[in-house]
Amino acid sequence: MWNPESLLLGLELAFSWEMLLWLALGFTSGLLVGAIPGLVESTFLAVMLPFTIYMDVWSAIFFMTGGYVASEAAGSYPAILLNMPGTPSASATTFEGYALTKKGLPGQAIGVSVTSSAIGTFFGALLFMFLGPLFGKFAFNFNSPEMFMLAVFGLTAVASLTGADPVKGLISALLGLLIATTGLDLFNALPRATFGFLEIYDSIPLLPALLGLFGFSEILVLCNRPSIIGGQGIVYKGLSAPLEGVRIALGYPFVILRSTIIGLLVGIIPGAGGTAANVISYGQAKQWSRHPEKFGKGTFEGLVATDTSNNAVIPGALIPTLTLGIPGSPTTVVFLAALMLQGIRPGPGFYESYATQAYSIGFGLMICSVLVMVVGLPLAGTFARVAFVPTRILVPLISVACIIGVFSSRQYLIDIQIMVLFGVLGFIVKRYGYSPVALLLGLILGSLLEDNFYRSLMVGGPEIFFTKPIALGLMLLSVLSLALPVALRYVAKGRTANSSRELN
Amino acid sequence: MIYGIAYVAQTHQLPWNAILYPYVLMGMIAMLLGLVALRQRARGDQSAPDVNDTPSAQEDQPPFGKLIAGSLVTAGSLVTAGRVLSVVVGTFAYPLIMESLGFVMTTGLYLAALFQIFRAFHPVVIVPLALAISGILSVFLQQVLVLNLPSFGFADLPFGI
Repeated sequence: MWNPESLLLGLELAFSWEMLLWLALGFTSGLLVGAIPGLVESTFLAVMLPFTIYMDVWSAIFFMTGGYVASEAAGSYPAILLNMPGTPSASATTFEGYALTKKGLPGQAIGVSVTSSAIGTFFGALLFMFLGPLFGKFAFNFNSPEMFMLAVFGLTAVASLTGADPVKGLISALLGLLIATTGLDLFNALPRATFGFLEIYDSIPLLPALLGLFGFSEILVLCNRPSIIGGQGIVYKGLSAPLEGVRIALGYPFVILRSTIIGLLVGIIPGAGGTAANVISYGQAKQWSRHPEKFGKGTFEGLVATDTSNNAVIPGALIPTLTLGIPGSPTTVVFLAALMLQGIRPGPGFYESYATQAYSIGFGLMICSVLVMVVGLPLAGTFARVAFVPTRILVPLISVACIIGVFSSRQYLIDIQIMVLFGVLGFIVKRYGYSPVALLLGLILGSLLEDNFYRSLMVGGPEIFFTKPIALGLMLLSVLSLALPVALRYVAKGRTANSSRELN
Repeated sequence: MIYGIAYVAQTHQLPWNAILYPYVLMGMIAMLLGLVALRQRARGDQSAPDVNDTPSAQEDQPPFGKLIAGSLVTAGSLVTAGRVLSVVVGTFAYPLIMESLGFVMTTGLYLAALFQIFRAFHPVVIVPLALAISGILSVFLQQVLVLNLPSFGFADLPFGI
């Protein structure tokens, strides 16, 4: 399956000064970009793409790999400190990360985040190198019915687990799916719910919706507070709090393992990307946790799950990109373009032709995981100080950062207004106990779901979902994820009723 | 509901295969909302907050939310509501103004207005600071990210000024 000679040559290539330099440069740039809410890694890499043409192909890939890993890791910092995901794939990080910041534990939360990101990248890279070809083969089995059922499973799991009420979660997910139908329909290319705006003919853009739901809505809340942390907050110096976070993160080995696998699998599935992995992993962590009631109130377990998975997505997303020529995430589209611009066509046989380089990318990812720890941990204090800046200064600056982030992604002025509308929607959704997470996932998976639903029907009719074993398995899991919380609630109610009767 | 009505109004003339999926979604949402309403009625307390509200939603209740509910009307909350509305209206209007005034001036004005509303700095400092920040941002976006920003049409001024 893999040969030791290519592995050693890959190691040699990865540790050459030139590659290390480009990796570090990409990493530093990515760290800065990821920490700015709204400035996503795909925008950054796309902007850098024209310059990479002048580089050696593998230097360019190393630069982009460094930037990708760093921005994914740093995307969690504003998510933790400001409730504003720096990148879309850090959206679920806000649920626990920000709650921990409000508890006065920003340093520990960043320590947990940095460690989880590093471990997720490291183990993801290991699997990328050794299991890459196998996973590529497995991804071949995912056709339209399987993709559809996977999306359904993701939605039902999140809808039933992100709030205390599965019905409200389901409504939120369906609303997300409905909003995602905005744009041209698949059959006739006729506009649906575009209301005359040409800019949303493709669909509602994800970034403004995400920044609105999780960023702008939080700005509205911040308007009332003197600072993000209530009262004086807890000031910490040096590395003690982040190092405590490292220790805390290492206390959840099973969560790390599960989230790495989820991240890698979601990454392998073309188009799913880090955001879905982040949210699904969070849902799974809550489902399997001994203390699910603590989720949403600031638990390290949830943070470990989200931040491990969104970084494990990177190696996962690179697998279909390199082996199938199909990007695993929006960011790897830029990778694909970079390779093709250099005259390399990724696809089946890539490992045979470029085994050394493929392994060197794996080693590059491992080096990045070390950089995440070495660079990320000392900078945690600097990032954490943002939480103590008075909101009278912070709100105007974050508002401008959101506007610029949204504008820079597509350069459409209407995106700013979409962000505002979703901000108000997010505020209302939270106010009445619905789930903004399920709404977001509905938005993300909407087009994937509709597309694969119709394709499946055209290929084999409705019965196709029952004849494909993987699709059937995912369907059963979807039903279970909805029914289980309801059943458990009834059991709990029954127990409470019995115990109160016994007391009487 | 408003979104649903607007959706139907715009799409009802489209062929069925274009609208079947979204209409099924709308039907499911309506059905589930009906279920939520029935449950609330069964509890006999429609005005009370839902006990199933997520913990974070309950914890994050800002006074502005309470203000909307009409349960808290104080001078402080009015100031908060004013600030919130300023941010919402200002940000929504930002792209409309940027089309005519350009990036640097609009961002400068927007920042200066927000700094003033939140009383972030002394009034003398606000305008130069806001303009300096917007200038730096403009250079970053144009030179580093190579973005094409809307600019103020100096050539369109009377007498070519």
